Amino acid sequence: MDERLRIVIAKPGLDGHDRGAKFVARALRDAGHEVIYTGLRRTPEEIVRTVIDEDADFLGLSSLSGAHNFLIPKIIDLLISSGCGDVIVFAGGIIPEIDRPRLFSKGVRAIFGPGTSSTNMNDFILLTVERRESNSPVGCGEETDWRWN
Amino acid sequence: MDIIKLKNGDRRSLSKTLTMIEKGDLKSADIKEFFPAINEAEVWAITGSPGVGKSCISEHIIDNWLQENKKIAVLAVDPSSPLSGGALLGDRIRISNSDNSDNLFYRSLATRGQSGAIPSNISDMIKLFSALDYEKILIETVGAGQAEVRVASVSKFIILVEAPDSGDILQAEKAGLMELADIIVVNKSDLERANEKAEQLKLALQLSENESPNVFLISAKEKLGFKDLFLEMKELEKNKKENKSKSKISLSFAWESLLWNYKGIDLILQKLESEKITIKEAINEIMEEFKID
Ligand SMILES: Nc1nc2c(ncn2[C@@H]2O[C@H](COP(=O)(O)OP(=O)(O)OP(=O)(O)O)[C@@H](O)[C@H]2O)c(=O)[nH]1
Ligand SMILES: [Mg+2]
Repeated sequence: MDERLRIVIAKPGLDGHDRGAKFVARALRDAGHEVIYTGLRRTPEEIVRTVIDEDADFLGLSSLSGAHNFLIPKIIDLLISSGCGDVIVFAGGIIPEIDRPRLFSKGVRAIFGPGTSSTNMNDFILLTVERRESNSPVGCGEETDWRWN
Repeated sequence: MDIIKLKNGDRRSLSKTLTMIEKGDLKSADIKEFFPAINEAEVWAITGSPGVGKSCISEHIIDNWLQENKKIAVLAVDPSSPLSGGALLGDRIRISNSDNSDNLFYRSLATRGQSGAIPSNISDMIKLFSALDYEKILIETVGAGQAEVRVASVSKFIILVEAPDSGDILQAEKAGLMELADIIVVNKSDLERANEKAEQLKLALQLSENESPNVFLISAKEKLGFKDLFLEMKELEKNKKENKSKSKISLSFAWESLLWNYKGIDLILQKLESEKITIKEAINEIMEEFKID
């Protein structure tokens, strides 16, 4: 893989903590990716616009506030209706086990809890890129049950 | 590239086309082919040491342009990490309220290491935005080192930002930038010593023999001093004076990109490395090629 990946890390919702999001952003940069960090409290519309303008391959959504149940599906719907169903979406932060199946079925391909190692995230990214290159569905709007965890 | 969608203002097509330019798959000659008449946008660069407030100032400039109903493109350039090749592009963090306007397109770019490559791509990107009727282009770049001076040289106007708490960049580079700047801004006027910094700069400029840029004291945080800055920007756009050192840099930059975009360059470098030819012969060979073109 010699292509440089572009990854948007965004924080929807109202909580004011972004230590986790920044950690993820730095880890991905250190793995050789170009990471665009949006800062706190972005609306779904702003996040989708950022993904479009930045021509991102991946969108990582960090949520600590419980807003994920509403916001993440909304963002994915917006991505798909904007023609960005090929973008690969993952999530992080505090997302309880019972909320996860719905997010996965909505098109989230991995959920990383607090304390996830950067190796784990990178393996996910490399594997999804392999899938994309072999034309297997992996984008948030593509039909598949595949997920990382 | 979907030229119809692009011409109809589809953002994703524009974004994908920028990626093609960034990879070197599309050049300004190709763009000119699709767009016979191109109005040149006004290109501004905002530069200065890390953390002086370039992005916060940009936000106010963008807002001002949006209020005038201008179509705006921002290119925020940050260095790639020399170790991993990755980059953390965080200038968007400061751009809050203007993010939703259809008249604003905001793209973050990493320098991707190869010296010379990014600035030549940037001028192709400027061409594309101009072709799509963008009227204002703002390039944010960190003002330290040669590459960044070159990024600034693809723009028509340069704003150099200083702050009372900013670590000084190397004297020589700073002198170079000060010579290039059309406007010097001292940001963070809400902090102590901002005034002092502005006075120091004015004094230094008085000593230079060139016609010197005006110095503005502002606070991006408190939104103070912007009225005068905006007036000066308008004034400059109306009658820009050519600046000799800037023309010099633009010329040498254009020269350099001609050289590095020359298709036989790898072969010439190989021959030089194995001492099959001398530098002089290499230059002759390249010149020969340019003549035929
Ligand atoms: N006190 C004060 N702080 C400011 C002002 N403008 C910006 N800052 C702060 O300075 C810090 C850096 O601001 P940015 O706008 O990100 O600076 P920058 O020059 O774009 O930084 P890089 O892109 O990292 O080189 C932030 O913490 C801002 O809140 C100001 O007018 N006064
Ligand atoms: Mg910045």
